[in-house]
Amino acid sequence: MQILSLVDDQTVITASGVCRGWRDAIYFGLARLSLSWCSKSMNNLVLSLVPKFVKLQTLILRQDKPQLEDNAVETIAKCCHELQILDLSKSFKLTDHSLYELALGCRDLTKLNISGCSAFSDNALAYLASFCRKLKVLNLCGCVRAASDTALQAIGQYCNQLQSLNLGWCDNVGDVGVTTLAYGCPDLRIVDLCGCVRITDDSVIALATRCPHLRSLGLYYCKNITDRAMYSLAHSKVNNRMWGSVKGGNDEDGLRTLNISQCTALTPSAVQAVCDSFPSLHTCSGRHSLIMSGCLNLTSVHCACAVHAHRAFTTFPHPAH
Amino acid sequence: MGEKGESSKSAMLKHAEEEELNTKRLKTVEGEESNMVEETENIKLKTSDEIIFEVEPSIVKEMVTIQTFIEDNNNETSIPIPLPNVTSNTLRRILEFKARGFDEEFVKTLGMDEVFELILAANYLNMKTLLDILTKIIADFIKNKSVEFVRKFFNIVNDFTPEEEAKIREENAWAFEGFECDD
Repeated sequence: MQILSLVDDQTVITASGVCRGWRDAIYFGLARLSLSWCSKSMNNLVLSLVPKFVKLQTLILRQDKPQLEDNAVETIAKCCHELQILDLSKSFKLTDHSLYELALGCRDLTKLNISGCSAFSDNALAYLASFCRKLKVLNLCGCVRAASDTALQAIGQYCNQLQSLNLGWCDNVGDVGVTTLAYGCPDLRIVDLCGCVRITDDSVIALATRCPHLRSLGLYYCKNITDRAMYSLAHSKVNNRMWGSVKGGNDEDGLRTLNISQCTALTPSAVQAVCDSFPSLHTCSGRHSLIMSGCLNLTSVHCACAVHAHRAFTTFPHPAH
Repeated sequence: MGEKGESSKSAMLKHAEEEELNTKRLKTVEGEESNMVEETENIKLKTSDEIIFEVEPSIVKEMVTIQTFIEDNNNETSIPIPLPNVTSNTLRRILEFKARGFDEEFVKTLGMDEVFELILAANYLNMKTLLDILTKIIADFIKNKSVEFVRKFFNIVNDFTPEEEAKIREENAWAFEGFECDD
């Protein structure tokens, strides 16, 4: 199995046909399988292979052109009860039936990528959330129908361990959904709201105040975001530091990535306040983690690299002094 | 008189050795000395064909099986440690490989039979770095090869019935559409 862990998945499939010993070792020992390389008949391959790999924990089925159909996902749900990581991105052909099956069959899912699965509805996603309560990473980028406030409320209610959520270009998402999410998922670290044009400062304030571990926030093209949201983020550093002293937080906590590109209502003073609060946010060349493209009025905002370096030098004086 | 003197001398030596061993044990317990194998003395390894190699402790450190054996035997290193699953040729190759700083190119010059021998030995000796390199070489060699090639390469007898084999080929066929195996 050590040799087979180093080969590509096509070779693993070949190896399963070498002899009975190898077949059994692979069928009962393989934990990770990716079929993303399969450009023609992924659906048929899933139907024929997946029932044999009963111990799968990771299954990657990313597609360039849509191949997967509901019967393949149904097979996965019926056979792979130990599945923890599932990538179904760009499966345009899948319907709600797939999510209902996954909800019943794969309750141990911790990472689910259904980005680009545009046919899913919010009811089906809410149903999935109510069963898959161990979810930590959820990618809903481009799931315009599925990612609604209704679905986010269900996620906030049931998926309390969630750490990463991608809602890119889900323009049905509003403040109600994001606020419920922030209250229900205090462990959120990465939230991408790029293109969620309906959200306002209330969403950002909820995330800033309720999610002390927030590391990355994407607000690209969220035109309704104003200085109020930025000051809330800046102030959250103080609140979270107090909270962290009780919970055992450390100085590395805090925002490391913030994308406010095209958020044209923001002013330099508010953004500078955020930048000053979080030393890991950088505007300097090669370390861009505060992304402000398209905000021509924010050119004066700069990270405190030089000041921070000076501070580090003076904090620990030479022992001889 | 001479004999008596000799015996009392050996008793004193034995007592001194015990004292030293107790001190070592104490140091280990207190965490002052992490490894009870003295860095200076070479360790004797006896291969399956009865040849004894003297190996530096720094090399033995990477052989987890031997390290464990030494620790389980009160750090006794004067007696050669038996390696029933490793031949002298294979151990010589391992030591040569180690001397070259785990040079991957060196392994590629070996025949596949030797590589298999090395894998078995590295697995037995629990040498992770060596095992990783060797398994990678084998993995690279069987990538994109046919079932028949893999069987021949590993000298495996096909124990499937014709019906089973036909079924497997049919089920796995979807994986190889528009893809040619390199025999």
